[in-house]
Formats: sequence, structure tokens, C-alpha cells
Amino acid sequence: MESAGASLANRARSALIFVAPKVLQFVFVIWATYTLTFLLIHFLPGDPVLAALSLKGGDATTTDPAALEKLRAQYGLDGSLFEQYFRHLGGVLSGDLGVSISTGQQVSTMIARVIPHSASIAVLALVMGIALAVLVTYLAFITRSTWVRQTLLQIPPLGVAIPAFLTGLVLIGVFSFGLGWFPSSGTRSPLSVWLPSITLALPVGAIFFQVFSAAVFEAAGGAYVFTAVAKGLSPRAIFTRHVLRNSMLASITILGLQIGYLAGGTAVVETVFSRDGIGRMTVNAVLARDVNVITGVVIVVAVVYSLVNLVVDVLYGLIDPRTRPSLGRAKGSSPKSPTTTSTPAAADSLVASDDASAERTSA
Amino acid sequence: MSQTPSPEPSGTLLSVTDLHIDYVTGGETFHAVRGVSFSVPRGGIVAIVGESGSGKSTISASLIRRLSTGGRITGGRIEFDGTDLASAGERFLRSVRGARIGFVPQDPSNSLNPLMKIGEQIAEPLRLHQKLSTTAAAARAVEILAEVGIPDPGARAQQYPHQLSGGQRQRVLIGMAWACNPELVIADEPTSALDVTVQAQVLDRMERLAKERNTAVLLVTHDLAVAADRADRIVVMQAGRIVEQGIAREVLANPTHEYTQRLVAAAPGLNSQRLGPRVTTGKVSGSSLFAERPTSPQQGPILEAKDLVKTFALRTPGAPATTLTAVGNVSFSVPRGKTVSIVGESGSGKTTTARIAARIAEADSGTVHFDGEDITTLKGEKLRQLRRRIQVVYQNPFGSLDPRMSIEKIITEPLRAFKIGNRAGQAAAARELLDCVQLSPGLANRRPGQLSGGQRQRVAIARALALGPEMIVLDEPVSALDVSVQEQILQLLVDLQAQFNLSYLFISHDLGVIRQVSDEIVVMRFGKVIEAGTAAEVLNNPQQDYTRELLASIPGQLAVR
Repeated sequence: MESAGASLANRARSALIFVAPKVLQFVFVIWATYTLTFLLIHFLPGDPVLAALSLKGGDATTTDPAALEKLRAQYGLDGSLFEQYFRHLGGVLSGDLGVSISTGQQVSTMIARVIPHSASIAVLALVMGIALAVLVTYLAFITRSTWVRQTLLQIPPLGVAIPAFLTGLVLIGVFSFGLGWFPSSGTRSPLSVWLPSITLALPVGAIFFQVFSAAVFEAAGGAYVFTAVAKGLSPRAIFTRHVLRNSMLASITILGLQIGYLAGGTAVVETVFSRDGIGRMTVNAVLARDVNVITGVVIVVAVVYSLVNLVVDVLYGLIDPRTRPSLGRAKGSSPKSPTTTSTPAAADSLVASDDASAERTSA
Repeated sequence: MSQTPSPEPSGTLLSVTDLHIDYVTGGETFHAVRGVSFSVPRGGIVAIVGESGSGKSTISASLIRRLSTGGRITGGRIEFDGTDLASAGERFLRSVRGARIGFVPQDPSNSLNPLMKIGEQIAEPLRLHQKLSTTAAAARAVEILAEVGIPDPGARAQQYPHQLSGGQRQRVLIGMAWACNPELVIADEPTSALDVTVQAQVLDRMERLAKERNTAVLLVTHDLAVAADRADRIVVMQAGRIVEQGIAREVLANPTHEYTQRLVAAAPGLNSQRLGPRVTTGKVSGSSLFAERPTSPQQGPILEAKDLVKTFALRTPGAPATTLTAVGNVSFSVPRGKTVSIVGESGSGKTTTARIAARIAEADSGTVHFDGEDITTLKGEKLRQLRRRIQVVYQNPFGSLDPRMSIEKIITEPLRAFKIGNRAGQAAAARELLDCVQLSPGLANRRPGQLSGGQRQRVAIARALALGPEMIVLDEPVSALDVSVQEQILQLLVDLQAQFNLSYLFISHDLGVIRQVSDEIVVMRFGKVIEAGTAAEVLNNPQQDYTRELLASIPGQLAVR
């Protein structure tokens, strides 16, 4: 429709307009998370440094005020609330998350050290979970026997029902102690990622399956699938070419939520498999009242979560042409059938939806 | 696979013998099709006509063996060019679907994959059945788009379905059905979702393709007029059985079965008279409801709209906001006890105009006078009180009734809202209203889900009558209904009008319906009134090309001529 050059510039411009508000939203979420965490921690009763010290040294800990003040300065917890807020905010922006009270290490270093461990099992779990969900759904879609389909559809909910610590223990029992294929704990061996990933993949895949398979079977009853059948396509082609992408569209939101869950929710698995990871670090930090580490973890998780949702939003635009920004064409705004959306005619319903759906120009 | 159609045009291509189809849902068996036999000759056009639930769509789906869940062919043969499709294997069926039997589905807005480009969707069967290469199929897809009359086909092929209008989408689907030059095309209500003028164009296109390629067409429709225009033979179905079949002209001119006679009488395209009220004898029911109605001394028009303007801001992310003038300087008036109809296609602004007139939407500028009083800026309680005098009946009888309320509750809700009468009085009023709309009082405790579309629309009308209004705005009140039911509802409206001296503002896209009820007609297009006058003037002596086009598009005229 447009000449190539103009179209490219147009496209870049509309892509920017599409993405810019989402990036702003991203920044806002991070800031809000930081502020909320900061306020929550500081309005908790008790002095964080004192609390951490007393946990370290037991009730007998005696500290003179000068030493305490020095420690506060060391951990960045001195000064008024305002000073602390902006100092920490500045730190967050420059990547400095402060010093851990319990270990004395830089929080950013600690997080950077454990993130690869957590990320590897989370990503693997996600990939396995989705693959499993798609596979089972595909088999259920393709089978002609109602009985097989119903059985297949009933299996995945088990993944949600069985708690992760149980799956973990069973897997360790069978594959580590029994067969000796995988190490039972630690992060040293490259094989060590498998059992925790499988443990995580089951609930993740099961939840994804619930949404995905529902979307697939709804799409399968849809008019465009009928059209595809009428073209003479095979069930496999119908699934891969027509159903899959449309169903992904519905499931991608839950995917974003799950990645967010994985970013912070690996604690149980990491504990069961005694792995270093962000979940286990969080648990330890909470137990040690290590406020700097807690803040750091919360911010990192928030960043991951928001990034994922940003990607999901952009993915929507890529997958679904309908949500893509228009290139300034007035034509083609979806024309409605000669019907109007109408609200129920209750005698006293004065408020009717005043949206533009009432009338549109048809192209 | 691309077989040239048989040189012998007279042979039978499809022959259905004693077909039985059952649906099993939740252990219950429903006999949707009960022993149906008919045949389609090569290159011929056969129409299956029937109301919703008659089994006609079930037959069309069974011909490519794709029944919806629970559907099963329990007996009979579907012989297509010598092979029984009813017992054929899935692999063979796949080689027939799309290649030798094309299918034009009912709903153009949902029948295309929203995430796939138009061209690619047409190219798919070409690659599959004609073994064309990717580039050849893409090129052929563009040609097909041109063949079905889509302007700028090269660019359109790169677009997605949502960027096309409903008529264009249906053309794409037609192109798709004909892509591999099939011997038979099944068109299941191909134009029910389209505007009348578009409907005529789309049907013309189908007819031309069928003629050019010598394709047999099985046209499934609820509209006898459409069938009459297009088909050589008509098969009339009722409740899963064929009640009559024969040469189209003969069936129309001389319907032998009582049901066909009723259909012929009901088809709005086939009879152009305004309906008169039937004489009501005996007690005038419902009169108590209207007893309190203030009789206005004023004699002028009951509703007067002047220079209404309404614009909408259209915002698409990434594009500058544009304003759409839905209604531009529209003026009209509704005389007491008469029906004024606004006719126009989707996007003409007719519904917005009606909503402004009923004060459901607000105009940007212009005034609305009701019974001499300016109601343009009424607010709060005063506006609420206005609802007692102007009521609205909506198009969709499925969406406009709360599925969890009993019919009695639905009908008396306005009375409760205005605290009229006690419980016993309201129950009595409900019975009276049901009587008014000719529904059995026994339905009072049912829920909307247990009623048919026509019954639901009667309930909606009863609800509108509950407060004894002087005027009712009818927004496409019969568009969602079967033709024969349409006729009954229209007759009911005309009767009620005479009985209670109601004034109607009637909105429809269908001139065939409009000429059955209207005293005055306003023709709208693109938000403007292009022609207005008495029904006789507009229908018999239209001044505008567009009005003439609308009139010419009413199905059923080709047959009458």
C-alpha cells in the first residue's frame, strides 16, 4: 500500500508508539515495587540492624550506640527516611543494591552468583512444561476416540495437585538413589539441573495445559477451523497452521504470569535439592532479617517479572495482527454486522455503552 | 486433482438418499434429519430452505462429513459422483473437501483465521490439492481475489481478515471455495450476515462463478426469497424432513404443502404490502396498563429530532485519532400513532440516531422534542421518568433478556423499578402483557433459555409495553428471527400499534421488512439522511440512486418478475 521507504519509517514509528507506553509502565512498576518494599520494611517495628545482630549473636548481644551507628552507616541504613529512600533509589538505578547484613557481601554480587542457577532450572522447566502441555493437547486433539481424549485431558491436573516437595523427593529416590542417573543435590554437576527442572515443569506445564487445551478445543469448534476442514487440510495441518497460534494467543498471558512465578517461586525446589538459587537465598535472607538482600531480591524479581510481561505484550503485537498499531489507515476498522451491541432494556437503564461500536464506516 | 467438470451437464452429481442424522448430547438423542432424499444435477443450483432447527445446516455439514460434536449419520447414502461419502474413509474425504466440494460458510467474520494473511489462506488449498508451488499458489491467490471482485487484490492478499469488510470477507471465502474448481459448492447461509446490497452483489458473484465454471451449487438459506432468486430447484425442509421439493418457479407459484404456503406468504421480499391490524374482538386486554397514560392534548408529532450530530473519536494505537461522524445533521419527526422507519446499512448511523432519539445516547448537538417538551438535556429523575413514555426493543432477543430471571420477573421489572402496584398486581399485569403479545400465561415461570427466538422477542415487546409507553423505539426487532417468525412479530407490532395508539421509530437494514410496517421512511447513508418521505413516495418513486439500489436488492424480485 505504501512505498517501501515510507512504509519502513511508518512501521518504526508505529512500533515505537506501540512499545513506548509499555516501557513507561515497566519503569513505573519497578519504581512502585521499590517504594512499596522500602516503606514496608521501614515501617516494620524494630531496628533492622539490631534485629539482624540479635539473630546472629542471640539475645545476649550488647551493642554500644556508636558501634551500632557505624554498622548502620555501613549497611546504608542511617539517616532520615527521605535520605535513605533517595540514597537507595540512586543505588538501585546504578545497580548497587547495598551490602548484606548477614554475610557482608555486596547484594548484587550475591544475586548475580545465584541467578544462573535459578534461571537454568526455570527456563528448562518452562520449556519442558510447555512442550509437554502442547504434546498432550495435540494428542488429545488428533485422536478420534473420545475415551482417549478424555483420559488425556484428565492427566495434567495431577501436576498441579501433587506438591513440588513430594515430586522432588520421589524423583530423588528413583533417579538419584535408585538409578544413580542424576545427582540428588548441589549445583556443581551440569546434570544437576534436570531433576529440579522436572519437578518444576510438572505444575508449570499443568497450569499452562489447562489454559492452552481449553483454548485449543474452543478454537477447534470455531468457524475458521470448519473452513480449514472444508479445505481438506489434515488434522495435523489444522493444528499447526490454524489452531496453535490462535490458542497461544490466549495462553500467552498465563505464560507471563508463570515466568513471574518461576522467578521467585523456586524456593521449595531449591530447598529440596539443596541448590543455591534465588529462592533459597530469599528464604535465608528472611530468616536472618537481612533487609538489604530482601529488597534486592524483590527488585530483581520485579524487573524479571515486568520484563517478561513487556515481552508478552510485544509478542501479542507480533502474533496478533489485530492488536498491531494501524499504519494510519482509516479503512478496515472491523466493520460490524448490521447489528448493534445493545444493553438489556431495563426500564431504568439510562446508561448505555456509548462506545464507538455502535456505528462504524464499513470499508 | 483439478478435474474439468464433466462434459455431460445433465447427469446427477450429488444424490442424497434417505439420510438420517442424530445428535447425542448428554445421553439424549435428537433426530435432526429424518430420512431426507434429494439430488443436485451437475451445474445446477439447488436451494434448501427452512427455518432454524429444520436440519438444513446439519445436512450441509454432513455432506463433507464434518458434523459438530455429537452428530452422527445413522442411515442413508450421500452419493457424490458415484462414491458414497457417508461411508467413505477420512483420507478420501480429505481429497474431496476443498478439491471437489467447496464450502462457503455462514459467518464471514469468524470463518477466516484471524492471524493469517488473506492470500495465504486462499493459497493453502491450492498447494494442497493442485500441488502448486508456494509462489505459484500465492500468485493464483491474488488472481482469485480479483476474480471475486476485490479491488487492489495484490495489496489485499497481504492483509489480515480484520482489515476487510464483511462483504469482502465473504468474497474471500467464496474465492476459497472455488479455488480448486470444485464440481460442487455448498453455500450455507452465505449472505445472512451481510447488508442487503452487499448480499445481492455476493450472490451475483456466486451465481456468475457457478455459471462460468459449470459448478453445481447447494444453497442453504432460511430466506425463501433468496432461494427463489437464485435456485433452479427448491427443497423445503421442516423439522428434519423435506415437506416439498420441485422446480423453484413452481414451488413458489404453487406451493402445495401448508408449510411452504406459509413461508411464501411470510417472505418479506415476496409481498410488499403494509400489514394492516387484525380486527381484535372481545375484551381489549392490557388496557388497564394504559389506563393511567396521560392523554396529551397536543396534536403535533410525538417526537421531533432536529439537526442531530454525533461524532465518535476513533482511536487505534499508533494512529492519530480520527473523528467519525456517525450522525450528521439528521432531522425527522414521528407523528402520533404512526411508524417512522429509518433504513440504512451498517455504518449508516441509523442505530445511533435512534439511541439519541430515545435519549440512551447523547447528541453532540441538535435537539429532541418529545410531546412538545425538549428532552435533549434531561437528566437524572426526569430522564428516568421519560422511560415510562419511550421504550426500546432491541435486536438481539438472546442477549437482551437476563437468562436467570423468569419471564414474569423480566416483564414486570419496569413496574418494580417504578414501584407500580403490589406483587399480586404485578403478577396480574404480567399475565395481561403476555396475553397482549400472544404468549401463553403458562410461560410466566419459564426462563429465556427455554423459549424460542420469536417468543423471546415477544417477551421483550411485553416488557417494553409494561409501563404503557406512548412510543417504542424498535431497533432491528426482527433481524435475528426466521422469516416466518418475522412476519408474526411484525403483525403483532402492527396490532399493538392500533390497539394502544403507539408510535414507532423502527430501525432496520431491510427494506423488505420496512415496507411491511412503515408510514414514513427515512433513508440514511454515512450518517446523513439522503431521502425521506411517506412510505408510498419512497418505495414507489425513489429519488436517490441509493434508495433504488436498496429497493433492487430486496431478494425475491428476480423470481416475481
